[in-house]
Amino acid sequence: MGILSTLSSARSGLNAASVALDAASNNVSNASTEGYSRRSVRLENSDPIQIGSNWRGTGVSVAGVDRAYDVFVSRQLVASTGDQAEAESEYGVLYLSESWFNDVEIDGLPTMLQGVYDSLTQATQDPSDESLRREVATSSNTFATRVSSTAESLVDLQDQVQDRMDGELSEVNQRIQNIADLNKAVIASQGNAADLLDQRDIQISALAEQIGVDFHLEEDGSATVLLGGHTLVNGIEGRTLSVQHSAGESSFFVSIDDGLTGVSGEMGGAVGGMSTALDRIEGYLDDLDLFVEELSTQFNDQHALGFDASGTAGQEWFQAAGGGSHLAESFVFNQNLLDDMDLFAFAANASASAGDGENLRVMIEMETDGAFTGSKSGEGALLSLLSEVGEDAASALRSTEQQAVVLNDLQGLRDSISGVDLDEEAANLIEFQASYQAAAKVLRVSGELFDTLMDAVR
Amino acid sequence: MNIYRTTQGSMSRLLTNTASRLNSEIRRAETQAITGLKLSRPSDGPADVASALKLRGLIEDQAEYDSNVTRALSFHSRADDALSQASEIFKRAKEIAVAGASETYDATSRAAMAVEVASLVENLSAVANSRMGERYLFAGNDYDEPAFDAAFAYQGSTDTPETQIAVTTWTRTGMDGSEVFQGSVDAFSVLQDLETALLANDPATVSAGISDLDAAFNHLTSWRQRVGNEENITLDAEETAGNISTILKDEFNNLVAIDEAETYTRLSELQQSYTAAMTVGSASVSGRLFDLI
Repeated sequence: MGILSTLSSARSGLNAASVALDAASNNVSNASTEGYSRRSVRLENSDPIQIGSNWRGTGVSVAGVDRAYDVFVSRQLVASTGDQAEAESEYGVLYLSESWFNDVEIDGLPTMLQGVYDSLTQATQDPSDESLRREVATSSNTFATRVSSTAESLVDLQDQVQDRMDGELSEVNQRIQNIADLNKAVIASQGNAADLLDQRDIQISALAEQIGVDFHLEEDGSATVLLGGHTLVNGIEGRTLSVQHSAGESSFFVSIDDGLTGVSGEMGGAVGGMSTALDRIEGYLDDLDLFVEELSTQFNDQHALGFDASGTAGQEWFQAAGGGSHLAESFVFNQNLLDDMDLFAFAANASASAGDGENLRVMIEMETDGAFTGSKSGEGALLSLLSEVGEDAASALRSTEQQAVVLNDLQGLRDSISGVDLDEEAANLIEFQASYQAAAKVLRVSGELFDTLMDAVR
Repeated sequence: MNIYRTTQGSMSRLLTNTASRLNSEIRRAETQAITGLKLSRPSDGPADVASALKLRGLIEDQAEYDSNVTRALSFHSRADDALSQASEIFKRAKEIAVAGASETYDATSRAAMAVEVASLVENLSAVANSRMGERYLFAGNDYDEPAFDAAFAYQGSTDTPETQIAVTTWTRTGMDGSEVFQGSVDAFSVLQDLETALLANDPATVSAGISDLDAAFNHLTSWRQRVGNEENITLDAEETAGNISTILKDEFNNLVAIDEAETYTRLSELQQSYTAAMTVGSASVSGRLFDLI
């Protein structure tokens, strides 16, 4: 062991400190980079050498640059990201649909139906009075128009959600391919390219946000990505997701061996949330259809039992001709009655006295009879629907808030493992700066010793 | 894994989440303060919103009943006036009959009395065809035509119009004139018989007809009482509707309206919390050790 060995050892110290300073600098630079995992330098003694009976150290070597990462936490985070996005997306759509049933600040369906019965009640003052009949016609027409516009708006919302699903699926398929490409690069780097691994984590997390996925790591460093039990990415191969829309329903498929396998039940993330919301809106529309059918039957049957001013039996009060995907879309108040209010069949007798309001009286009593499904009144049926809409939105909001708490905890956990602490990095910088300076001094002392020795032999 | 390690990223996320949550709560409190409503969407409280809407429907029902009550009371008042006039006609007719039955008067006097009775008949006819607006009060459901023709034949309907003044209460807004004026006693015939007897200078027949005049008077009085009873029922319904409406409005407000003091206090607390969280949070996010290097 001599001066040259000391010089070599000091040089290894300079190199190690330099690499560690680089890592700390990189960590500080990426402190705010989403998905970045902090790096730390792993140092170890260089292999010692034996001189006689003595072992002498040869300095330090950089064994590797580690990426702070916990696969368990990452998988939990990916799952939670999908759950949160699913709840948030469902709530977002239901929040919009809820607006059409809002009856708190403006008159909604239950209040407007109440308006129809109120106008009928008022008409008992004088069943033949034109202004009172006009009020009945106006309230009935306004109510029917509101029902149909509500149904049309919900169907439009479904269409918009399905358009958005198409856009998401396009991105999803691109992302699946990106992950497969990153797998290829990671395999080539033998799993040592930390930046590639971070990028792949970001892509998997984004995919989870869109459709809700799980993943596990293979020995070759690649990540296998799963949707439920179906593989989306296997090594360097990525599969394609597709969607088929019908009225108010969307079905999802993954392409496997030139065939399509249904994965609708496995879909999570934002797309899964949209799909759930779509189903719920379809349920509201079905309920609205049933309501329209039952209300039409109730009004039309009773009106047909009465007689108009000319002694003719009453025409249909409400009509729903169909034509759209839902009956409620075509719900209208009979135009004939709107044009000629003498056709109102309020009388119970064909002689049609001006004050004969016996059939009108029975029509008013329909307000409280249990002719609707579940032995409800018409208003009760609408209030049930409104409660269902409100409860669904409230439940989705609660779920969003709960998932946000879980996601936040997991993000905190990931940060505690992989995140950059600027105070910690500042301490590291001080430590490695000191190491670098010390190694440099050793190098200078060695140089001076070498010069002294050289001067002695000159 | 080290769950105690805190990074600037996690502090920043905590700050962002806290700001988002507080902003959301501030926005909700501000909306409540501006609208005066604690429920603005069905999801704010599905059960409460359904209850509130049910209450609002019932309040509107009461308003409709109130409108019908006003109309019914107008009818009752007008019908009472008419029946009161009819009773006065028979009071006067009886005075004439008592005088006409007396031997004190001669044929000339009775002829003069007959002229007055003829005018009473005309008055009764006018009363029986009384109107409220365009509606004939005593024509039943056929209220758009006069109840009686010139020969006092009933032209109206024996069915009567009714209007709803409470959930299960209906009241008459028209009367069957044949029952009122030609029921157990034909009021027109009684007066016409008196006129005939006076013209015939027949005090005995005039005297015999006094009991018919009493019967007609009593019959009309009993109808007046019926109208009075219906008026009382209607007034009672009006009072009940007013009380129910007050209770319903209180319950509705309890469900929907904000407590202003509570809302403003909450808003102030939230704004203070937001300021405090941002001040503390922004200091925590920066790496402090770097400042010392």
